[in-house]
Amino acid sequence: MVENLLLGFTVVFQPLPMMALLFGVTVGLIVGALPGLNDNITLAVLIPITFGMDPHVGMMILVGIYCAACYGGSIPAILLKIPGTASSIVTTLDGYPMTLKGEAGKALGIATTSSVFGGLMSSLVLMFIAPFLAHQALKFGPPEYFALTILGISTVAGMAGKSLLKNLIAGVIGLFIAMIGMSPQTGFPRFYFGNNYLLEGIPFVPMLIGLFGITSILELAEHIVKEKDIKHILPKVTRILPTKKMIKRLLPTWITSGTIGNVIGIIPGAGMLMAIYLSYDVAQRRNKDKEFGTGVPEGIASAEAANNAVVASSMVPLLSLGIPGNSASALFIGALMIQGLRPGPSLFVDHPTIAYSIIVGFFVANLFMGPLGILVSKFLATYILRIPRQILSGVIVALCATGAFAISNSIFNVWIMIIFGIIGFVFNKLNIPHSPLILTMVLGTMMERNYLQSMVLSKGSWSIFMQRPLSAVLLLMSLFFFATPFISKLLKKPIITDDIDLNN
Amino acid sequence: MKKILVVLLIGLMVFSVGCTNSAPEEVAEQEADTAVFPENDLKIIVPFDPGGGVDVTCRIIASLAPDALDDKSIIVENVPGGGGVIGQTAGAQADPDGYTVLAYTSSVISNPMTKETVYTHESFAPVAMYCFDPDVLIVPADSPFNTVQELIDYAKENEVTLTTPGNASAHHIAGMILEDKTGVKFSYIHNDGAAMQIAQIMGGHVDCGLMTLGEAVSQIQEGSLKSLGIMSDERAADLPDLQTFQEQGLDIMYGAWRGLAVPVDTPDDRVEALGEIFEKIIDNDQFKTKMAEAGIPMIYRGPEEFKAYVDQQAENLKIILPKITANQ
Repeated sequence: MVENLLLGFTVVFQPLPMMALLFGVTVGLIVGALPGLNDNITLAVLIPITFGMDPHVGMMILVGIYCAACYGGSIPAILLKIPGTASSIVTTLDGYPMTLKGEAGKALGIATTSSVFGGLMSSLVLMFIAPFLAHQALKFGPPEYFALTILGISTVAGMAGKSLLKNLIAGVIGLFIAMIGMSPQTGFPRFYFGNNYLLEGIPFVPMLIGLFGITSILELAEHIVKEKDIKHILPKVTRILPTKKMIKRLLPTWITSGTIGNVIGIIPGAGMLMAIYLSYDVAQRRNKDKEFGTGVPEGIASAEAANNAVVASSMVPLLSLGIPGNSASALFIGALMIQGLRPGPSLFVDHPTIAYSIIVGFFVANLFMGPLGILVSKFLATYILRIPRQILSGVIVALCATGAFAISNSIFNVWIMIIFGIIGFVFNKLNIPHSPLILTMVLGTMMERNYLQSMVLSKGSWSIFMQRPLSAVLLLMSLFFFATPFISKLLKKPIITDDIDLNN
Repeated sequence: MKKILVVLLIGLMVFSVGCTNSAPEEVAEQEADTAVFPENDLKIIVPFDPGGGVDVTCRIIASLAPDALDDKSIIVENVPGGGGVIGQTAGAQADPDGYTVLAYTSSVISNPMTKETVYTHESFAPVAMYCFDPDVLIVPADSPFNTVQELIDYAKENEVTLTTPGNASAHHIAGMILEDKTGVKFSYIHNDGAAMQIAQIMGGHVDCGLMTLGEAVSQIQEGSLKSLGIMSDERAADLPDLQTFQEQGLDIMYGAWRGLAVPVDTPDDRVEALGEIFEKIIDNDQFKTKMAEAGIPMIYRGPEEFKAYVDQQAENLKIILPKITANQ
């Protein structure tokens, strides 16, 4: 074990793989930070370039991109309220308010350190306990996945926001969107209006680009028209690295969020969004004294530690079982296959230098990500906010449209982006939050598929969800998650009326 | 002001999209009339996401193209969506000049039968088939079943769950063929890809599953999955102990096939020229080694042979598919 890891280190610490890793991290950071472009597109574009390379070098580029893109997405999320990648949706909730308060540097620093912490934690998991955990993840069958999606959706109730009702409205709309497309079990097309582009449902990434990128540009346009002049928020970016006191304060959040990210990452198909929403929800519960959504450091820390913890741990099922945990790690399968390598346990036996250099690569990439991220953040925070908003927004629209188009080379996705840009704008006018919609839309499809599969397994009986211990525990947890916001509201109410009575 | 801004924004979007789209088309139009073929790069439309089997094999072909194409390249373009329908539509509607080639796979036959499409498999002129990946029947490593017959016998008395990568997918169809030949009924669990199928079988959540040999070969070799039979006419080189369905008394030969095709209106000489180009690539030793290393079984069929094969497959499907749609 240790010998093999040392072997991995000796491979990675050669000049070429090292440069490749550094290159990958840099590219990942930039691509992640550009709204509209994400890690999947970049990996897909760069995989053919790795053909001709030595697999040790080629893999390092891909590892670097995968690691850094997820973190890079937090930079525009914090500075502009536009998540660069889906993984930083939750980061906008507290990141952007901090920028408005003039604490952009502090927010970026928290995002960087949290990401590095989460990333290192999961690369250690990948190094030392991957095979064991991968086999635990196999205990997840359809009923467990169903219960897990319910747990994810139950966080809607506790999500930061002023109105519980509006959270629920957004959540229900998300579930409705998830119904569009073919039924996962019968293949029957629903709400697709004869349009084949909708057979697989509303494409997620273009929708996201619209909800965030286009919505914020529309808001800015409205602003310009109304006020003719935009005041610049020019934060002083003096110190990016968090103070010792702050690190001490965030450490518990990092550990819980990193753990949640690792657990979710290992379960194939559970996904990064589930991890960030769950850990944000947990962080909120653990810090009842702070008002999340107004620029709370723990809010950023929870999301960023969780999403980077998913990165390396999503490679656990791929390397241990040959099953890709998400779409990015599925791209690694393609890259390995083209090199004539088959992912799975045999990779460790047949090509140990490649298998272990990938694992070590994740660890080292996270080390690169820290200093490099601080450099890039500092640069962007100082200059991006100085660019006149009118010009910046034009660039962002171009990037968004390119990104939406590039996902499947289709103009249809650009329409989806525009439509959801308008929907997002209307939502903002009505003060309906976006995040519940995104969460339920993603989990809705998964929930339906696994519900229907469970019903086939149990011949139509709901008892299967309670008979299987893991799913029963997850369902009870979701009941708790869902009910507590309501109960605490009920408990609060009498106190308020008492106050009024006293005043009278 | 407001209006100008909106027009500007939309203009910018259209412009940015237009930039990426227009260049190859213009080039293709210019070159369509010239005598030398190909004068320019070719494009393969892959109607699936990057990283999958079809994408990987097309990219292997593309990587060997410069040798066979006089230093011109093949560009792989992923146009996923609608279970392949979006990319297949793009392939059918491409200029019939031979420059746009579709990754032509089993679903070109089944999609028009199960969904509303503007094309059928006859909208294409097959150019070359390079892969036949037979279906394997997979069970968990600790499953009590060791032969197809044992599983079938059990299924006659009990409910057996079978995982597929999707309703009306090639492997769902393979399951229906097996039902047809043996008279049993499976309870299908439909997923959206092989990854989840493998996880469900390994975790023991289902009784069995159908997928291609290429998708499961590493796990079978390692012993984390067990295979009961392979739907091909001879045993696989990678798994010499695995009996075929035929050997076990069931005459089923079925699997996923992959090839390349152009719109049916493409001039015959272009189809012929493409046939020769791809034969050269597929016949290349480098291609064979790369496919073997990746665990993807290969085969070669030229334009006419391939067309006959596809027509035969379509005939077979016409009998089986109505049963699936009837269940909706």
